[in-house]
Amino acid sequence: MDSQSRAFEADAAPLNTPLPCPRRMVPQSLAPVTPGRLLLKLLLALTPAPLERVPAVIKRRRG
Amino acid sequence: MAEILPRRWLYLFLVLASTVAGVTRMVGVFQMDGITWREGTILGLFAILFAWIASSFWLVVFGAFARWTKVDLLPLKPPAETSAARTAILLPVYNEDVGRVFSAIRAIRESVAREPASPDFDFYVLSDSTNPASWVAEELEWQKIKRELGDAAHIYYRHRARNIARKAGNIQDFCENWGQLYDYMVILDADSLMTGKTLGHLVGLMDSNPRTALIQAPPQLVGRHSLFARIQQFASSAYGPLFSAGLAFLQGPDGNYWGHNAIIRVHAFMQHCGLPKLPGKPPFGGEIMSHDFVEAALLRRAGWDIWMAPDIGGSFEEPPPTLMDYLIRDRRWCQGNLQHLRVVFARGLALPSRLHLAMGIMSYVSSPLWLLLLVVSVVEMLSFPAPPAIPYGLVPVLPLTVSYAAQLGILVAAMVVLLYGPKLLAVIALLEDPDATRAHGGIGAVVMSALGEAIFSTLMAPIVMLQHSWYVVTIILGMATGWNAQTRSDRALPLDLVARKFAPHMLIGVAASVLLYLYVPVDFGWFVPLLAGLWLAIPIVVLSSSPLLGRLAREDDLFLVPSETWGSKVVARAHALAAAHQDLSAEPQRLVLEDPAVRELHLTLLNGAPAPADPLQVWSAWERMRRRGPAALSASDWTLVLSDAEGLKTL
Repeated sequence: MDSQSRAFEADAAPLNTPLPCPRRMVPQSLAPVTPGRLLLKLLLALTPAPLERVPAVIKRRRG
Repeated sequence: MAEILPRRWLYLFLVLASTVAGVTRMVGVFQMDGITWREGTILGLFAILFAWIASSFWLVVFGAFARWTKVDLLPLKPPAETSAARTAILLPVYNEDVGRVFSAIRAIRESVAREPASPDFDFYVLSDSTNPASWVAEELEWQKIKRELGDAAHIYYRHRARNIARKAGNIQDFCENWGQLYDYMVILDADSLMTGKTLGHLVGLMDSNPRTALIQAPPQLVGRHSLFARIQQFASSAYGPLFSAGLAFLQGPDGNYWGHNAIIRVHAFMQHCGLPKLPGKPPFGGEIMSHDFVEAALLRRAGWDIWMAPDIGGSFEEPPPTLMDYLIRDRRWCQGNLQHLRVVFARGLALPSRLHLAMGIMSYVSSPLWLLLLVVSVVEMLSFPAPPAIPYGLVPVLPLTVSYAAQLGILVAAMVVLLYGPKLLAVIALLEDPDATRAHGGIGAVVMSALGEAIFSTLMAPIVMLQHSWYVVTIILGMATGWNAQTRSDRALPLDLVARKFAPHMLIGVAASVLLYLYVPVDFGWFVPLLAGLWLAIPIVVLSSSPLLGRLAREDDLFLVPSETWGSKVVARAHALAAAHQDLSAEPQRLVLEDPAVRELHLTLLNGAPAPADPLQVWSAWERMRRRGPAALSASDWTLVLSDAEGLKTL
């Protein structure tokens, strides 16, 4: 449970709401997918994990 | 999730296969004499629209399959016995009937109290009301309910001085101020109701399933008495279960949010659902109007699960009372959904979320596409050469139009199956359940109601198509809509008002009929079902708005829904309280000036609200009031006066 129950104990009778416990909500990005990003995604999908292979290749050469 | 993917692939295959079959037949028709650009346009539009209606058809077929095989549509861990969670029930209001709002709170609260070991619920009336009479009436009703139920009832009231970002901003304002005090929030609309049992069940499910951020409880349409509303209520009750089962069966944890009658995990919402302003000006830029689909997409993007609970029950809302009100509401929804064109390609969204957004867009864009298809088809018909004479020789040849008619007849029959098949399937599923059949008035009543609904929806379809087409065109041209309160009470619409609003529909219908009859008399019969709705637009809207006809239908057991036959305590109680409610004053805002106790209450509730931005305007309003009395104040003057705490204190 992540509610902060104590805030309710401070609720004064004449108040119309509990005491505020402010925290901002950050606007999320809804930027569209760009053709460049799509192309990159496609390349990554077509190439079987090239970055993960790099250390293995280096290790093999060193060995 | 592993079991949902094959369902989705099968669904996609069936929609595509149906579309390919339909389009292939259409291509066969056109290929007899080659494909012109007009025929190419018809084919393109036909393919899109055939796929659109096929997607609804197969959705309901999947729903029927899920119902008949008793698939678990909400595969979550069962709720715990007790819950220590704190839940806020939010009622965002905007110039609503205060009697209805507070009656709903009382009814829900009483329903919660009837449940043993119910979780804690606090109620928040989150007012964005701009009408000064509504604003002060809300304050007085809040004080009344607080006095009667005491502070232990935890019913809170907050009026927002500036309506930033409309309803989404209203909820965000709650979250930013009090969200951290709660585990969950249940969002209600001004005409929604939920039972204590359902609310408790939802809280329990959220407790047991910590990956779940939102559970949507599909609301049943109830509580209105006009003929139009009763038909909508019946359609929702009879056809809705298969539709929602189909959705739940296919979407799994990739569910959607319908803006109300849903429980939301507050910290997930606060972390991921801050809505940005879209670049550009309205109608496509600016504040996001239809926020619910976007919030669901953002929660899914962050990895949270969203479920629909099609069988949870105890979740209600009221339909618009008339076709005119329905279309007025659709203007706003149309703009909100078209605005999603700017969201549907946002980075990182899950594919099902993009599909939810796209289907919302398509539900409005399909109207102008249908209209365009009809217009291009008529133009194509006009260009047909006269049927060649049948040679009486050794080689008999049929006229080309006969072949067209036969092929097109098959296609039209297929479309009729796709459009009416889901209704038929839903009626069969309903009739299979004796309890549900009795709740809808018995076998005869179900069949007659379904026939009546089919006829009415056929007549209504061209009116809605024209209206939606107009909305889409005006929105694309850059005309934004305002934020108007909805009319929610039954009333018979006056003929002159309806005639003014729907004369264009009727005139378009008559003009189209004359043209078709003159130029393509042979094919005129094909268009009669479409044209009839337009010819009769005015009487359809007037008669269907009638509460008297609604009552007569009810006396004949037509369009009955379970909440009427079995009764629903929470709905009945809310209606009884609203019916008994009496407004405290015709002009409650005057009481702030005339009654010190009301002024004190208003000042208490105003505490901390920002003062009006322009002191000169405030001074002008006060001057007008002093010289010519309260009767001379406009609504905006009243808002300034009521927002000026310092000025009110000097009275």
